[in-house]
Amino acid sequence: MNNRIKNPAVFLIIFLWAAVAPAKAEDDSTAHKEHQIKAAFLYNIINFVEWPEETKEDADKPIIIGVIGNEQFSQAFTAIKDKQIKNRKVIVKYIAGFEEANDKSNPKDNPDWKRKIAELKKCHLLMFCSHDTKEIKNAAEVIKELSGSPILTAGETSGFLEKGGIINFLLEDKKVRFEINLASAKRSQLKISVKLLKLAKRVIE
Amino acid sequence: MIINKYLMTSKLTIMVLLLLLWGAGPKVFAQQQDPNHKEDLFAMSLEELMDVEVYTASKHKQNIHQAPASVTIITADDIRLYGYRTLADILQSVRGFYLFNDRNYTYLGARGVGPATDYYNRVLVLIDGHRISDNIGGQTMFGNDFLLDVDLIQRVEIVRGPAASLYGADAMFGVVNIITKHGKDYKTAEVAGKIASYQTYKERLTYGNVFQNGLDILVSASNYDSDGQQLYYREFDDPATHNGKVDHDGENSRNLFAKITLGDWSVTTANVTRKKEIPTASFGQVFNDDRSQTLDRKTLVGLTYNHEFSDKLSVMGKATYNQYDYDGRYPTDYANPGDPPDIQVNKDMWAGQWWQGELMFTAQPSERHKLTWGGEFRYNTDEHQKNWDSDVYLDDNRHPRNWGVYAQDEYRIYDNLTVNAGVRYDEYQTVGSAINPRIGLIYNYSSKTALKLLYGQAFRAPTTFERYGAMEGYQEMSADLKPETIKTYEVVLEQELGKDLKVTVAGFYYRLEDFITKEIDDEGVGIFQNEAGVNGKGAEFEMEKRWQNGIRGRAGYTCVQTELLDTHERLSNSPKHLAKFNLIVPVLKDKLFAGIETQYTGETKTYNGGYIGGFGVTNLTVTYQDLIKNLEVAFGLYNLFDKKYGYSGSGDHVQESIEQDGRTFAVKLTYRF
Repeated sequence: MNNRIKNPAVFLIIFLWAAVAPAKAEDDSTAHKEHQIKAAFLYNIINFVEWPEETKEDADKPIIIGVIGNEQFSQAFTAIKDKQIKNRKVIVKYIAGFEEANDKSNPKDNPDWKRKIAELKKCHLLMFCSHDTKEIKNAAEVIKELSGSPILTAGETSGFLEKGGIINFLLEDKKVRFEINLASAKRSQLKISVKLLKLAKRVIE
Repeated sequence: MIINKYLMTSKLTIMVLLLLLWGAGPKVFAQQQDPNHKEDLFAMSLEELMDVEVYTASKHKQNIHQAPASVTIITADDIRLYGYRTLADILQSVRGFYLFNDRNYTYLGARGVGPATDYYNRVLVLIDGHRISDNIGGQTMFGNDFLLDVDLIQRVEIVRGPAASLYGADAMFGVVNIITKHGKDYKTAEVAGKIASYQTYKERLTYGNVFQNGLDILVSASNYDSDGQQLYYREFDDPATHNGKVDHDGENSRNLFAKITLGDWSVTTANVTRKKEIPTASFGQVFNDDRSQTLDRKTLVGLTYNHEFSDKLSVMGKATYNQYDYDGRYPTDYANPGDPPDIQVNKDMWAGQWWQGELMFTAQPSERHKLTWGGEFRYNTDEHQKNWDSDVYLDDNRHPRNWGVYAQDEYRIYDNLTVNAGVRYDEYQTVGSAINPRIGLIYNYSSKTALKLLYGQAFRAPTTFERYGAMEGYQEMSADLKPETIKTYEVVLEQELGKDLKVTVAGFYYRLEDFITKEIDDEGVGIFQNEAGVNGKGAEFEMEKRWQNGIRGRAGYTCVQTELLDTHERLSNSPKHLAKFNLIVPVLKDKLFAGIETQYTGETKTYNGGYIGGFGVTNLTVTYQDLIKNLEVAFGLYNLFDKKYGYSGSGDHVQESIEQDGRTFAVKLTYRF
């Protein structure tokens, strides 16, 4: 009897050891596929958007895609790490701190706020991800802070364009569609090609 | 049975080494990327992307952390890469489950309770939502007599704990829902052939397609043939009984399957015919008689209708037709000892047929409430039991009805606190009515942590076999058997550590009252009775881990203590310790995979009061995908270390322990058109 009682303890010890062993891995959840499609869309959309004053110096600097709200989304971009857009390298950055917004506190009271906004301003494209079903509650605030800067803001919740975002993704019949706020684009000094406008489901001027 | 301590230690060493390898995984294999095939979305143009469909799981998708139970999912890839041959192989890898076989049928035990004296499994098994256990003995077939070829399974969802508040009777220890594939999962056709030990051959032909209008068709036929092995039973080692040797373990089965889906409608039909030769001389049969066999035939026709009125209201309707025929041949010697033999082939027959209808509504009246309610009705048109040879010993036919209504509310009190409460009322023409509630409190400390407190009640009505399967000299009538009831308390903690590791810890306590079991008196006559009850308490621990290079594994341990309330004895066929270990290793990206698993079953008490020692069984399958284009080859070695082990016989066996197979191999080829 004693022999057998020892075995479970051994198992438990080994389980704990395996838990401590460091490793990285991929998440295989099915919702990932939707984000992969949206990431592929953004990868294409960048080709149809013109940022202001792209000088020769800029041509060597990488294009920075920022992601806030859901880290899984930034992983959807792993396939393009070695690819280039407009002959420039692409960097995908996840900026933490915008996931679960606390309604009660004023975000501006948070000392990190200014620093985080400065981070966001470095991006050419910024994707606002909804975490599970929660929106980034400060989305409107963030967009206001970025207004005027040449940043292509993209989202995936209803009302995103009304908050001032430039591109919004939606699902129709299990397929991904997008809509564009042309007025916001103009305010951000971004030129959007006619081809992109034609494919959009809805365009606000 | 005496355990060989040396073997146990070396087995343990191997398991420890496997676990160490598991932990060291990422350092040993420096491969990159996952083995999943992903179309290159980034190579598509905008127009092409607009045509890509988003994959969604089931409509009522629930974050696994919010489910009011502990759920395990086994995918089609798991089934393929671990070389699972039957539903028994699949469920044997699930924490807390254990299967046992008596060389005729396979039975399922969960949380320390496994049928030792009859056919009833206290776990509900469904195919595409339709019940499949028969209406006479409540038996589910888990072996080559299962309704499906396991290659057709898309996913198996195992939900632990009492779920009677939603599913009604039989869901005492859990629900196993088997979801089948669709025609769109096959390019058009697939053919598979397998050769295995003991002259075993299996063939399958499948055709699947989806048409422009959305019509999805899947049809499949499988055939299984095995000569079985030559066996030896020392209980029969006497010149009069062929010195205990018997060569009568053959089996053959045929499966037919068809599934049609169009829009909101889906029809699943499955049929199995299976013959098994019985080598054990169970039920007091003549040993080594070629006529000893059972023939089972089962048909399922299930229609499902799913409709979403809006994103706030949906309905599901189900209509099921089931037919089951069992035909057993048992050569028995009726002569008195000393007289010349008087052997007659005793014929045992069950014929069951039943119709079932269910309607279920799901509504989301507000953001915080998700309501489910519905009703179910069942009409048993045939419950016929017959046993005869020169005399008729049993001829009983019944047509009972039963129905039930249920309601459940998932109330999100706060964003991270959910209450799931449900209740069901059942009425049985045979045993009256029952009310079973269930309540679960789910606290999501974060999106990665869930603490669940669950209480549930479930019941099961005595089967027609238990009540009316009486035969003079073998079994008495138990017409006034009461239903069993169970109350379960459970605490579950699920934690995701990083993105690669999930840990589950659970503790449970249950009290099973009016436990139905068969008592055998001094003259060998059995009678089913409601015992005082069974107490069970236990703990479970499981870890699931994935590595960047695609290695993934699961390890689980369950400890259960069962106790009969009146005698304070442990239940028979109830292992105290169960450990499961699974690991898939992509040895060559997208090409070569190794699936290894080990299951340890602790010591159990036999029906006669003896003991069967603990044992560990290891299986290894190596799969070569796309050996040449569209061809897959798999090599399987089962019971890799040739461990000698057996399962407890029941009161119907002379053998105390029925030995299982040693090391066997299998080679399987699958070709896609």
